Amino acid sequence: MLVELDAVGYTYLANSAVADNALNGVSMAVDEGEFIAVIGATGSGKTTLAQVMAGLLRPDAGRVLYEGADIWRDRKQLPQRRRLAGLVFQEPERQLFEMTVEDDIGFWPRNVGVAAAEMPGMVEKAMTAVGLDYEAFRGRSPFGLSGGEMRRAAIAGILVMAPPLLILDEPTVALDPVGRAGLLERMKKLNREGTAIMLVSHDMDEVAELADRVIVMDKGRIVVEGAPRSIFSQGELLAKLGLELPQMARLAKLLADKGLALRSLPLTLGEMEDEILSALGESPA
Amino acid sequence: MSPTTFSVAPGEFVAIVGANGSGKSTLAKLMNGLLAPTAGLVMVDGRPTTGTENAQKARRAVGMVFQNPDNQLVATIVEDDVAFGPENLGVPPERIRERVDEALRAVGMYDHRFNDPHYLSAGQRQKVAIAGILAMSPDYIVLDEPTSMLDPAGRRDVLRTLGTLRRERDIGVVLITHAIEEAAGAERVIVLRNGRIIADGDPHEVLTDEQLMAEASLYATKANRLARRLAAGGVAVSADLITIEEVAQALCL
Amino acid sequence: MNGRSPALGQYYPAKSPVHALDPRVKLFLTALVVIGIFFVHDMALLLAAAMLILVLASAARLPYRWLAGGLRPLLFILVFTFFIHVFFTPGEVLFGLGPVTATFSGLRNGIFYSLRLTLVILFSSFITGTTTPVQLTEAIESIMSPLKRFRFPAHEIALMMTIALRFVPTLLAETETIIKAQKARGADFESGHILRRARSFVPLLIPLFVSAFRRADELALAMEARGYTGGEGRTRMRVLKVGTADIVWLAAGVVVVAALVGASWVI
Repeated sequence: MLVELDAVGYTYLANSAVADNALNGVSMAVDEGEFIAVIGATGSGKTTLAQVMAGLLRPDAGRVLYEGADIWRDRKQLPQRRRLAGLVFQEPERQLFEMTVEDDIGFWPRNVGVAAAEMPGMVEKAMTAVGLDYEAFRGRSPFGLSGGEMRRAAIAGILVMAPPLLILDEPTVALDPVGRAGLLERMKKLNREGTAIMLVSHDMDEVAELADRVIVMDKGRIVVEGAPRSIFSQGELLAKLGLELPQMARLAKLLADKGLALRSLPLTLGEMEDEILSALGESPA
Repeated sequence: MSPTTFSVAPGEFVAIVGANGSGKSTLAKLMNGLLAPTAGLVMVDGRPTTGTENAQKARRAVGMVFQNPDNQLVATIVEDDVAFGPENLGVPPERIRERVDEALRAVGMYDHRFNDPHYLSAGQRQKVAIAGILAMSPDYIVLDEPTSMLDPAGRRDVLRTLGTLRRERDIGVVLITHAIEEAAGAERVIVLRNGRIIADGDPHEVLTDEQLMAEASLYATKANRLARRLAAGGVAVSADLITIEEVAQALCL
Repeated sequence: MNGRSPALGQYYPAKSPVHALDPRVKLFLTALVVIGIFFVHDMALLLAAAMLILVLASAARLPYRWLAGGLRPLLFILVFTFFIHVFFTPGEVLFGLGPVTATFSGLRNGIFYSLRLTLVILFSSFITGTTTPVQLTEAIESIMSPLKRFRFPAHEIALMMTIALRFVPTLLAETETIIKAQKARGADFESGHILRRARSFVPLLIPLFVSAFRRADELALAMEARGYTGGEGRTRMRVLKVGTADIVWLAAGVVVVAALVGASWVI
């Protein structure tokens, strides 16, 4: 068990007209190498959850455990423990501040005292993981990059921590289709290479495609969790919570309404194609 | 942008799609005189947009809503913000009040008129921005990626509002987006690539042209990709279906 | 959100005759009263002024506890003023405390001056408590507008104030987010000596500035798109109009202050 939340509660002092961003009795865990997704309407507490998991917000109730140890019991260990989970905030390019991309990505290593000799290697590895060529981009100003490049540079700034758990809060917002596809590919690759990933997202297609397990939140509580197929079969519940279905699931529902029933819920194009072909009596290609 | 020619008729719903960097925002700003063309002419209702007076008239006729819901609102009270446009146009005070109320009702935000925009959701803020433009009585509204920073609920809300406005007021809508699903609902789609228009036509023709879309660094809708695969597999569906609803309809007939 | 406005004192929402007054009248009266109080040097008159506050508070439907709460941030100054007077006024000795001595006149002065300061603070709370920041900026703009004749940018200043008010909560929220994001990268804003801590703010300040400038850019564009070309030819949806109630309060206020000041001259 990499990171675990045990009956965690958190209350913000300020209120917003949208919802109460509190957490209430939240218990969940992320295992090594897992890819989980957290979905929920705006104000359901997803962002708060991400920040509590990353050790940035101290819960008012419950425990946050990194490899079994309560991270808030021993405060001095905290900065060291934070590298277990790296959190990429929404619109992470807002955190860029250094004169060069290399220096910005080097912020974390410098802060935790990494030896100067080791840094270029770490930075290069992080940049490669996001598809930014080391030689071409290292000396450039982060503010002179395109929007997509800035986002990648910011993500590299977290990847350089080589965290066993990478938490991403709505990483594809405002990216164009190519940018989005590229980022999703990179997340898949990271996961295949062993990094556990927690994706907070409101893009159900992303979630359907990538997640092993989906956690659904509403008003600060976990409502249900399970495999994507199981979660997205509960159309009524999701609608009640203000959530959409992935496109293929929506299509499946429309087909079912019109009398064409499918054997199981397709999550990808390929699966939908197979399902339709078999439902129509033709053999899958 | 390279030399480009196209026009938008009153009441039309045109979508402009393209990857980031294709010139979408530049094109948007040319349409209401925020930017002056370095070559050629931009005409609104038969008048060029260059020159201060003409630019002002262009902005009255062509309203613009931007991507970031936050960075368009100037006031701490919703109705004050919606009044900003008419105030700039020198509309008499009593008439401003009428326009503001009417615009807020049209987007469904009348009950929030005394709220502080900071405490509204992003989708609601975008609707306030739209109301602010409506209060200027434009003939056209250009929206530059209005939903890309919104969650699905906000996106639905804004698109539904746009649909209602088009039906009830006959305002020409130019929707700039990189979400192809949004463009699928338009009457006409224009595709931009590197500052050039590479297509201009019916969405069922433009958005289903694989090569074209790839050239523009865009993807066809999932519905269309599915339709093409099914058609290739021998199923009796047309390869130019672009929405989920169309596919469902075609499969069940 | 209930009446909290961090930028300009706290607003207490209620329906009262004071809330409904023209904000310019309130501004003027507040200035008048605050200046007038400084002419008072008789304790009895000061106490009379204190009574006035109680009366005003009920007229404005402002709870006493809420008013008292407005003193809390300045409590230190009040207490400090009190003790400075107690221990450093020459006169008949009350008691000694090491190197300093308290005097009777010191005690009297201490009470008087800290009470006077308290009253000034409380009277000021009336205007912020019964007037929204928006109304205040409208009032300031209106008062400044005759100066437009002399090329004074009254409208621009008022608009700047409105926009600043609008963005304060937004920028505060962004600051919080940036702090957390940098902490997630191991930033430490708390420890170290003063120079080190000052430098640790760079990863906070630079993104904030960049973001603020970007917002300003986008906002300027949006304003232009909405036909903004400066203050010329602009109308306003809401026009401030002085009514009968305003004139009555104005007159009453002038009379009361004149009486207070006059009485201080005489006594």
